[in-house]
Amino acid sequence: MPAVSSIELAIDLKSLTKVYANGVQALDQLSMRVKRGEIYGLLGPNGAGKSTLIKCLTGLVHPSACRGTVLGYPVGDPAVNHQLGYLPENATWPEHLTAGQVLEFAGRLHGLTGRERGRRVTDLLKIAGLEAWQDDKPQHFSKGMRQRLGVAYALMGNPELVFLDEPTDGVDPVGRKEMRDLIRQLKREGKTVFVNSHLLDELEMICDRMAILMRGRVVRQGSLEELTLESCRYEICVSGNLLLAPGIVDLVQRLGGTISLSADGVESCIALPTRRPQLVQPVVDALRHESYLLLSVTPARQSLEELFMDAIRTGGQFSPRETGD
Amino acid sequence: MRAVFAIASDTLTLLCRRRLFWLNIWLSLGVILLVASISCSPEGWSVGFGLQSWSSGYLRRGSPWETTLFFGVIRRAVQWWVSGAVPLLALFSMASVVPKTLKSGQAALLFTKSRSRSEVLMGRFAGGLLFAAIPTLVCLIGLFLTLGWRLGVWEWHLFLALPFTLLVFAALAATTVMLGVLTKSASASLVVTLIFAASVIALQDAASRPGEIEDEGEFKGMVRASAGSVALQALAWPLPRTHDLMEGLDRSLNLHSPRLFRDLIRRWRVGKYQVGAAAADAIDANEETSSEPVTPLQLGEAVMVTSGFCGITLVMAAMMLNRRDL
Repeated sequence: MPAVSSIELAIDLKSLTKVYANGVQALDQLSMRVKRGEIYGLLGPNGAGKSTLIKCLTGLVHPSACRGTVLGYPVGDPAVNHQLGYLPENATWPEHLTAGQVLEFAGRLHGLTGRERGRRVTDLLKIAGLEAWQDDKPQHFSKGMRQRLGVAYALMGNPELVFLDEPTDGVDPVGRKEMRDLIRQLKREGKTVFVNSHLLDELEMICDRMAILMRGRVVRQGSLEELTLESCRYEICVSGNLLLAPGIVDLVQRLGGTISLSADGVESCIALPTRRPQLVQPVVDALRHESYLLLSVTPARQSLEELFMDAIRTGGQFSPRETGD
Repeated sequence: MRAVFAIASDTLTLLCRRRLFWLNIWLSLGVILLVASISCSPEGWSVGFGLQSWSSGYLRRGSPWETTLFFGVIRRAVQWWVSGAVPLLALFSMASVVPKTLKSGQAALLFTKSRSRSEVLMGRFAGGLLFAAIPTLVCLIGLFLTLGWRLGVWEWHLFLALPFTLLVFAALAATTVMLGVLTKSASASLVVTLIFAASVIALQDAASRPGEIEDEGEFKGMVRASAGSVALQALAWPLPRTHDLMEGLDRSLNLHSPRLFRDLIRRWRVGKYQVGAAAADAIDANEETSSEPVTPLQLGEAVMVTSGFCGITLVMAAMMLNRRDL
C-alpha cells in the first residue's frame, strides 16, 4: 500500500496498549492503519485482543496508552460515535422492544426526525430482510436474524465506519452469502468496514486488507497478496523419480527449492520458492533435457488459513511487518 | 438532549412493562378504594361501602368529626402510601436498570450510539423519575377525587405531594444509580440504598429533635445544644432532608382539622372494647417526640440540600462510569 495521508485513513493507530485492572495485557503497542472505504479483516486466536481492540476503537474500553485517531478523532472521543456503527459479538436486545422499535430507538439516539426515522427504519428492515418480523421481539429470532438486526442497528445513523464483530456467527450459508453481499454493498457506498471473524475463508473472499493479531500485537498486516508474497512458489510435477537425477537435484538446491517423491515413487514434485517464471525456466529446460514427462507447472501461494496457522505455530514470534505502508 | 429524552422514554417503557409496576398501580388503586369505601351516614360510619358499619353519636354525616376522619385518613394515606410505599416499590423496579445497561451485550449497543456516557445515565435516571411519578399521580388523583366526593372539598394542595415525593425518590434513585455503576449488581445497589435510606431517615429524625431543656438558673427554658447533637446535625446536614421534606409536605397538605385525628381514633369502640386507644397512644408517643414545625426557610434549605445531594451523586456516578471499561 502506498503511503497515505492521515485524512485518507479511517483508523490510524500507533502504540495502542491496554492493560486491564487485573493486570492482563490485552493489547501491546499495537499499530494499525485502515484506509477509508476498504474492507478490513481482523484475525487472531481467542484471547488475541480482537474484541478489546474493537472496544477501544468504539470507546467502550479506555486504552492504557494510545496515539491514534478514528475518522480523525482521538481514540475514545465519543464525538465520533455518530459516525460509527457497531455490531457487537453478543448483542443483548432489549426485552421490551420489537425489532422495529429497536431500530426506531437507534434512530432517536441518532437524533433523526420522525419522518426521516421512519424511512430509515423501513429501509434497514428491508436490507436486513426483517420486514415481516418488525413487530416481533428479537428474543424470538434465530441467531442469524439477530445478527441481521444487529447490522441494521449498526447502520442506522448511516455511519462512515462500521465494526462487525463476528457478523456471520451462527448464520446459515444463505445468510452468510447475504451478509457478504451486504458488506460489499457498504464498500460500494464508500463506507469503511472493519470485520472481526473466525471464518477465514469468508475474510479471504471479502477483505481488501487484513491483520493477524497475536498476544495483543499485529504480527502481519496487508492485503492477501502482500501477506502471502513470501509464500509464493512454483510447483513442478513430473513423472519419475527425480532423486535419481543428481544434476536436477543440484539445480533445485541451488535455487532454494525442494524435491518430494510420491508414496509409490512414480511421481516427483519440485517446489521452487519464487514468483518469477524466469527462475522456473532453467529447471523446466533441465527436466526436458533429461526427458522427464512434465505433468504440471503451477504457481501456488499460501491460503489465508495456512498463513494464519503458520502465525499460530510460530506463536507470532516472527518480526512484525507493516506491509501495508 | 434528544438522546436523553429517547433513553428516558425507553426507560419508562421498560419499567412500565414490569409486573412490579402493575402491582404498584393495583395496590395504589386498592388503597384509594379502601379510603373511598369509608363513609358516614346519619347513624354512624362504615367501611367497605357499607359492608361493616358502626353507629356513633359523634362520628356521623355532617359532624365535624367526619372532616377529621377523612382529613386524617387521607393525610396518613399520603404520608405512608404515596410518599412511602409507592416510591419504595418504584425503587425496587429501578434498581436493575443501570446494572442491566452496563452488561456488555447491551452496553455495546447503547453507549456506541450516544454522544456521552453521562447522557445514558441521565436518561435512565430521568426515566426512573417519570416512572415513579405515574403511580404517585394515580394515587393523588384518586385521593383528591375521594375527598371531593365524600366531603365536597377539592383540595388542590394534595398535589404538592408529587414534587415532595419525587424529590425524596430522586435522592434514593440517584444513590441506586451510583451504586449500580459501582457494583453492576441490582440486588447490591438496592440493599445498600435501603440501608442508606433507613440510616438517613433515622439520622435526620434524630438531628431534628429538640435538645434538652435547661431547668436551672439563667438558662431556664433554653435549648441546650450538646456536643453530640451538634455532631449529629453536622453529619446529617449534607444528606437528603427526608424529615424536613415530609414535615413540609404534611403542613402544605392543608388537611388539618380543628379536632385531632388521634382523638377520633381514641374514641373508636367496637362493642364494649375501646380498640382505638392503643393506636392513639402510639400516635401520641410519636407526636411527643416529634420536632418543632418546619419553617419555610428550613423547607427551602431542605429542597436545596436534597437537590444538591442528587446532583452530586449523579455527577459522581457519571465520573465513575466515564472511567469504567464496558
